[in-house]
Amino acid sequence: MNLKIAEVKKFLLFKEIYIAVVFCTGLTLLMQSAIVSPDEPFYFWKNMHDFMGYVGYWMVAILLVVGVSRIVPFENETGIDELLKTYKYGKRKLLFAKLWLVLIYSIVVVTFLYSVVFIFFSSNYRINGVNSMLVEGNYQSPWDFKGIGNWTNGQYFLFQYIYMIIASFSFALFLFLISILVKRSVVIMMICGGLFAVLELIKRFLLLYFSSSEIGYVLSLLYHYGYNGMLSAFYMVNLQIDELWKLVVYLFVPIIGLVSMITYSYERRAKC
Amino acid sequence: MLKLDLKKLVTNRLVLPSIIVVIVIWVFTIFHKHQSGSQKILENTLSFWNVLGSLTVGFLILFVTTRLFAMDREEQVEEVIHTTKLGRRTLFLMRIKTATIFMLVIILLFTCIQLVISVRIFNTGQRLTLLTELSLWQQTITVLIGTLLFTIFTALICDSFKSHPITLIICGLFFGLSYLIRGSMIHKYSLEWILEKGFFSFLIKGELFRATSIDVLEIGILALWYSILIIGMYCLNKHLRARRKEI
Repeated sequence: MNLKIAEVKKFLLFKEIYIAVVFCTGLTLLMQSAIVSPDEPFYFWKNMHDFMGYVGYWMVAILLVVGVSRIVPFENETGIDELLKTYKYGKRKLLFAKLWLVLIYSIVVVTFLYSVVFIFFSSNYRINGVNSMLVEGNYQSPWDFKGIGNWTNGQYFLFQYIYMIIASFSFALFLFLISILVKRSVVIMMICGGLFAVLELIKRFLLLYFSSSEIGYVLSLLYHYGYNGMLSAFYMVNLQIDELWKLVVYLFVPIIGLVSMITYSYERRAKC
Repeated sequence: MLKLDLKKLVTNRLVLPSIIVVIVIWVFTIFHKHQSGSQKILENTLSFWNVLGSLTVGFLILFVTTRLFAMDREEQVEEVIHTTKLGRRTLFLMRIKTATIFMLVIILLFTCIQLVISVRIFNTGQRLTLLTELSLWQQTITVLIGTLLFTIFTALICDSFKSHPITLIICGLFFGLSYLIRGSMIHKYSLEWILEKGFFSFLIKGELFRATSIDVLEIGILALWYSILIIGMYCLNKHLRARRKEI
């Protein structure tokens, strides 16, 4: 039997994902409809570029936490964990099937959210200017790192899309690692979802009190270089265009590290 | 049954750390406000439920009390318990009673913590004024009502779906949403208004008596909406339990 197809079929049985998808779609449309304005040149692309950095990354985080936190604990909660350890392909092959599922899920989540806003914005604004340069649009975006003005709207959108997929996959791998260690989906949602939400709340509410203190500095570093900063592209705010190599390192080093730790942890736990 | 379930709630590993974290953060925040020379003692004391207190209450309801209703299925003893004489409706109602008593005690505990810390920080002349202030007690009652309603609502959802993760997603996301949708630009009785005020967090934050622009009609509509939510969820739960032969 094809392990990958089996994992996908199992994944599609989780009801929680569909509830989260409906919730996130509704919330995205509600938030975007609150900011809709009369059509002006470049507004379609402006809104598409701004979506992920302001609102979209929250939806990505929610969908990833809900989906990935069920992949490994499902077997533990249904009691087939021990049985799988005796199966010939129940170790490394099964692990890579799950990692493949995590990658596909990350791609689907980002693509789905972009599709939703694409349909919404295309019904409110004209889609023109795909080959126009960003400087012509003359707007400040959360992704607006220095030197990017000479890119076209199409290039910038493609860059954002690929960046979000890699960042989402990195976050999903982190969730996967926690799920191997914790094995209860509710606790994983609490730890990872809670950590993400707490850092966001600290940034919004508490940093006002200690922005000039050492604690404030540490918390803002945690936000800036953690997954909140990665998914909201906060990391890119002070980056120059010729420092893109730093972005590549920032994205891929955690992925390599996480895959190694996941392989080690999963095989260690899979010993009979 | 009551004592046994209360023991399960009290001995939950999340309860004590949550209370300790709340005390530490509240001491830090109120001390910082005192140092910056603020004279608004009452406003600072009442701000406990804004974010810190309400989030902790939401956390305890979602992760501690709600789990009581999904524990049997997780431990795979549900079928056995349903065969007992009091293992269906009586047990369910007893668990709701246990969860509400537990949250009542937590709210009273947090109110005492809030008052003790504020009273210790501020000077003698201001302490008496603080303790006799009516809005403080009005806020506590509002928080109590909101907490009890939310506890019952999450219990009904968890029992209907028989899944703790699903309850977390539905209730947790709507509860958290009210912290993000805020602003004076929200039109009354719009969808954003319902999302901000319509999910019990409005009461748990103690905003009912602190909001300057709320009127009797708004309170009436909110009361009606909360009743519809609870009664609607109760009817759905009863229907599902009847289908599963758990009444």
